[in-house]
Amino acid sequence: MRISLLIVSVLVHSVAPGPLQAQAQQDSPVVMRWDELQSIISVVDPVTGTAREVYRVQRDYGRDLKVAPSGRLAALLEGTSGIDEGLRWIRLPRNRLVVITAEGRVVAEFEEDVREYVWCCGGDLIAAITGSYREGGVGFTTDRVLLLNPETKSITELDTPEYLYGVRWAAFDSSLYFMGPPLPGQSKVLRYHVPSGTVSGTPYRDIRFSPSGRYYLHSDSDGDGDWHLYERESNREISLPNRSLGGVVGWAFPHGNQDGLLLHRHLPSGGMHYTVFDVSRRTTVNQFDGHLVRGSSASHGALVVQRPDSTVLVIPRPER
Amino acid sequence: MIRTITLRELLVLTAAASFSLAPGTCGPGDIVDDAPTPWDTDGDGISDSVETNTKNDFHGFNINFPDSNRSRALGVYNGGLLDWGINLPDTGMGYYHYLNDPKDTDDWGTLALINTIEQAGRQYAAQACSDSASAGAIPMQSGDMSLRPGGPWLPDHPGLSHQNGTEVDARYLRNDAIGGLDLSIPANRTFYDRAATRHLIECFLSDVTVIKVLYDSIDTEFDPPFPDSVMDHDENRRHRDHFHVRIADPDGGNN
Repeated sequence: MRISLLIVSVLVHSVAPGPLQAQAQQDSPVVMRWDELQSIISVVDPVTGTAREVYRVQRDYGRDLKVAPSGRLAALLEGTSGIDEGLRWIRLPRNRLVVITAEGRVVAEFEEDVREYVWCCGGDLIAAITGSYREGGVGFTTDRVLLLNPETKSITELDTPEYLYGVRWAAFDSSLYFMGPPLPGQSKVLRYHVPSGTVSGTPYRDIRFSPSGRYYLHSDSDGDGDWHLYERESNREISLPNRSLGGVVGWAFPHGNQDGLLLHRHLPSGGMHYTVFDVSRRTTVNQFDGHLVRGSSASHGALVVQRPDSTVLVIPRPER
Repeated sequence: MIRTITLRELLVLTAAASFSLAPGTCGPGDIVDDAPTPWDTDGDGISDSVETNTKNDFHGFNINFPDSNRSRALGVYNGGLLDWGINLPDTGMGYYHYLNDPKDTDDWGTLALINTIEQAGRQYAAQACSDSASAGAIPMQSGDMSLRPGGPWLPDHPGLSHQNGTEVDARYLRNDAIGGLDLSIPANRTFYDRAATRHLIECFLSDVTVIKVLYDSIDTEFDPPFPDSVMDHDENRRHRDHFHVRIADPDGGNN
């Protein structure tokens, strides 16, 4: 596949831009782009802008493309459509998880009905929640929590409580964090410490931890629906950046050590303006116009942005 | 996909709606007044359809005499119970209830919620909720409400909502048939009827008892965006195949 109109450039800090190509070579994130209509995954060269088709979805649909932090592998969910007689499902849609290399070679196919997954555990491993599709609620009925090793194709079931429905990897304390029902005597957020295999409750409200683990974000669908920012250790709420900077999108770079909050606001011209706000230093560290490319993913948590002139901007995680 | 809802069924629905509610005549109070209406013979605010639903026999409803409403939302939506819940008829004017679970297990609510759903269905079918929007050919499809006694609903609702008969899920509407529509799957977006879905949501918003509609503003791509403060984008992205309607606790929050 060719994306001839795309000119790809890389910025480390737009507030202090340097020679673009040199920075790209230094960071060289692996960027994958999803062609939603054709169900094709392409690798985009961050320097030349050329896009090369590497994988075509093998089932009825694909979703949730995620490049591993290392850039060696990528995973996606492929699914078989259900049979719906209108008011009742005769056969539910079913997912599987496929792992490919950056060259598009299939490394592993896990036929378990994976609903949510995350790259984890400091290597190219995957934590996955399996379950059957269910309309409404959180979208599925949880079955198991698995640790998948694409290289060995091994599957390890983790001993976790029931009904978990969200998972994040927290590199800062080598743990997987899960959302679960706040039943009496059970925490809403559970921690699974990977090295020891122990599960413990936490007082946290959410699992959207900043890369350093110092903060977390929370949006309560059942509450006011707004974003709230907390200091993890004290579990105290702290103020979000001034609303004039925009609404919260999430953490800008899920890996690394900068706790950059990604904010966006609509421009009068119709596009979006993004700001990366360093929560620790309470200052803006990056700004750009465009929109995040839907379905794209990049290693090291780099951001893939389509600019107003249709060029693609790849913003790697800043190094401190 | 196999779909067995016939065109005849749709035409019956549409015809019934056109007899029952003229465009522009809807309003928040039009089904709970004292005057008998085509859908509420005794004018007690409980539709004939609900009163004749055999699942509600234990209420002792009589369509010729005003009945009292004993349904109560106890506690709160994410920690409560449903007392004297009322079962939503499986079909009604402008709506169907789709089945996630065995029949008549997941569709219980307070009378206020039942009325909200029925009214939204009537208004949607009659294209009466806004000047510009037009309803699609596909009726509203409502989903999970509460279990008959209310309370936690596990494993299907681990977020612990849907407990006291004040919430209902409804599908985003397709442009080709009755059926589910998961907008998180890119290929499905071709079948998304944005205008009809918007019209349906406006029908819910015209009901003053509706205090929140949770939806996915990214996938639904409403343009212009909904300005209503009742509309909330779910930042957790768990409303990509349905939107979620919550009404105010009809009997107050002190029980």
